[in-house]
Amino acid sequence: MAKNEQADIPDRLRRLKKVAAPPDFEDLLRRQIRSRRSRNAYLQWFARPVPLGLIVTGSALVIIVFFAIPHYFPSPPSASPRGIELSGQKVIGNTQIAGPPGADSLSTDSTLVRKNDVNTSKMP
Amino acid sequence: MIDPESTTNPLERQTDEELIVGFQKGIAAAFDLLVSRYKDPLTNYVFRFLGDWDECSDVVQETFVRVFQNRDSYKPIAKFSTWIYTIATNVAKSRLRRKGFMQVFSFMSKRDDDNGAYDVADESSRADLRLESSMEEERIQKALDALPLKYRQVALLRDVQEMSYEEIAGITGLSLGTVKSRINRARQKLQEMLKDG
Repeated sequence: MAKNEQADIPDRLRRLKKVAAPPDFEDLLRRQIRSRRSRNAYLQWFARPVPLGLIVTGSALVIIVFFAIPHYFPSPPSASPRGIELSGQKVIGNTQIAGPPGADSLSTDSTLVRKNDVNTSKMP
Repeated sequence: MIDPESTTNPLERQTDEELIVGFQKGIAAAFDLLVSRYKDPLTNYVFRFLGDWDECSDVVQETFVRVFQNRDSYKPIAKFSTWIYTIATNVAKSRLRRKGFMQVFSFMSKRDDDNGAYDVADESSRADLRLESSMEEERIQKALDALPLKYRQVALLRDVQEMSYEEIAGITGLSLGTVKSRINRARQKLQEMLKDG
């Protein structure tokens, strides 16, 4: 009995009503393909092949410029002859090393002046 | 898209494989003919597979768009029907996965206990079909919807689309023996479900 019922299943499935595509199926498909085509064309513009030579030359140029910059523009000297200001202290003269705030200058031929000690009345 | 004089069209006499090769060579009318040959069988298959009319229409459209876009990837070593049914099945499965994913995150999921397939029966959209489906037909469709995907696919290909075991093996990528056993198992499950209902 069960075997008969199981044999009946393919028959029952075969008898299911056949569903057909909607009448405007082709129109919809045509529209979809057209829109995909235009979108793909837009995307392909970004993914278009770039000549390998251009990539290699460009990369080489970038590398050369990157390594050449330090030679053409050497880093500035650590000290300025005109003096630099460090954490509230003004170092005047040919100072090589500035000491911590409040400390005397470590350099022998420089004059360390506290900012508050500078007599501004004599300045122009 | 379809040539109104298709009865006198020499392309009409060509096989599907000849048509797709012609389309690869740039004959646009060959694609139109393939669409007219496959739109109804594919719609029927995908509708029974998904149980949802709106999704079905989208999936069949997407299938033909993929055929159009990837026409060059078809190799004449396989039958065209195997190729297009494989594409349709893959698109339908990914839709089901996406649908299941969305349902999980909206806390509306209804998991099939058997293998994790999702119940996609959609009564409202089916009513829109205006198919005047009988009680029997609805019962069978419900049973199909509840069937795990791996069984549903082979049962539909064999008993609804009436394909050979070899073709089904080509579409599913399974061995002939596995296809036969799955079809048998699918029928058993359907029989159990329809007996209770």
